[in-house]
Amino acid sequence: MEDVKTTIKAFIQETFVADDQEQLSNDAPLLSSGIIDSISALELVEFLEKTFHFEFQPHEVDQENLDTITRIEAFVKTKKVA
Amino acid sequence: MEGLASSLAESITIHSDRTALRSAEETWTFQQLGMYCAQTSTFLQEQGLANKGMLGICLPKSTAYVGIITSALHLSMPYVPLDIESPVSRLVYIIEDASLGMVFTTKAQGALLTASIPDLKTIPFTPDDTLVVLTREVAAEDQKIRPPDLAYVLYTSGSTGHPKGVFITRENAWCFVKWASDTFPIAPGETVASIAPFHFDLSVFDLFVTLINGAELVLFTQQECRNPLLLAQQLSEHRVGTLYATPSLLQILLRYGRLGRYDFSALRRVLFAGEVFPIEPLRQLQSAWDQADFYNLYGPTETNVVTWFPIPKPITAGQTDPYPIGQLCPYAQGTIWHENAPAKWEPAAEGELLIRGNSLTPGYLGQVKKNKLAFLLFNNQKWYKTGDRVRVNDSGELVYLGRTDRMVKRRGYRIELAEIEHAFTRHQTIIQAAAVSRMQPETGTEITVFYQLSIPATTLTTLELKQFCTAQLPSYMIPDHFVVLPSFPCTSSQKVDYQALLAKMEDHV
Repeated sequence: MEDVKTTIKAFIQETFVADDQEQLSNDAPLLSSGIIDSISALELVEFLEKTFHFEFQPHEVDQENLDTITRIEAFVKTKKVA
Repeated sequence: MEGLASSLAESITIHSDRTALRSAEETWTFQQLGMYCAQTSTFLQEQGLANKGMLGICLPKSTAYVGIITSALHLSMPYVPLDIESPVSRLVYIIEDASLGMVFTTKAQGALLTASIPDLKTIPFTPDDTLVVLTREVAAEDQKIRPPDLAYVLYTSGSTGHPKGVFITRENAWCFVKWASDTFPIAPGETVASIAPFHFDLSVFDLFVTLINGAELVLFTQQECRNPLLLAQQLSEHRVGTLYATPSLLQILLRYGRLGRYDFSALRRVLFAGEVFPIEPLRQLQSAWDQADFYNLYGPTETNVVTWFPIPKPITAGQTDPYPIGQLCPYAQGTIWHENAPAKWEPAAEGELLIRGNSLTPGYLGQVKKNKLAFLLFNNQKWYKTGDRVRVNDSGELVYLGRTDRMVKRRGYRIELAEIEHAFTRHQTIIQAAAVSRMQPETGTEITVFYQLSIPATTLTTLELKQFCTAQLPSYMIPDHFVVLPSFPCTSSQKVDYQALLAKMEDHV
């Protein structure tokens, strides 16, 4: 499942971080740090849904599930198993 | 009964068994609201805080927040809602600026504030200590002069520098609430959404028009409002009948809220204010909520709502320009100020809108200079300079043209940045646009347009954009730079954040 992480990371790096900036670490806070603003988080949600073929429940669009690449990966995995 | 406090008290008595407030955590009847109000009032009296200056409230939106506001009104104590999400330094500035001697807040936020203002004492407010009151002695000579019938103070961000406190008297608030109650009647038991935060003046409608009419207010925190999937689901689940929000928030709801999944048959009224609603997304929202009537309301914090316009249903196919801000509310008088004189109020008259009337603020807290600059004496009357440029259309309604301070000069021409924005939103795939400018020593005024497309992750070429602009705008108005954004940054009052866009412009071009 390493490719899940790679895909998520590539999307976030490409979409929300300027080209010339450093690589994100897997545990860098994304929402609470402001790297991803609240509306960009919605873009991320749509990307995850489309790429991994599942749907977020409204209450799941939450910092708890989206704040780091590690958390996003874990969340995607629970959704894929469910 | 007349007046905010007495109408609210009467409603609490008459509707005691009805639901007054609903949040994710709690549901209160009017009786519970009345009890919380009574307990809070007793607490303030016992602590010797009642009528000791103004009452600051720095809490997430909650039933308790409404209870504390109700108590402040009951005791005729002016209250100051503070944005709990704003930086501590800004909160400290406001507490000092308003000379607040007491602030209701959470235990955690209280710890942050006392670290910055050491003379604040912490008194537990709730038995479990989750809510506290920070108090301090404010010397009589440090108390700011304030109007005797002050209801609350709303802090708005000045375009530069520090936030400023706008005084709103009980009469100011009441004339709006009474008019809104008559114009948008809400029956007991109906449901209204509280989307705007309480430090933002849209919330005055939500709080008071709802509660004095025995209707139910569903409270959405700022955090909940940032999740349009959740907000859409909740609006449907609670069968919300009336909601009042900014076009920015409504567009986010339209774009991300998956409105098609939910039943909005209860929704019959949508009010919006605070900025221009571009026609295309408005049309889409109207068709998603096709049983609802839409209204455009207009007015700065200093005057609250002073004009209104019912949006035609359906919006005609040929409509591309935003709708007028409409006609004046009965308590407001307007003058169109053009080149240092009043213009005759007739079709095609154009100028800055001046407002006076019962809803007009007596002024800003502690700002002698600002009080002088913001108002204009004409006909021996004090008028508020809105800073908004308007035109009278053929039907005698006001059309919003833009901010007087967003008028830039380029190659000798006067350019209204809002006009460029309007032109962009006429493009089929552009759903939002914002123009900003800066002075370049070499080349003069440089204009950058940020835009958002209806299909994400696509872009338009500069050539396509320039061709489109050429068809829409005179050559001197064609922007220098175009930047596509996946979304627009918003302020805490849920409007487009132009300061953030100015910063972005520095990054992009």
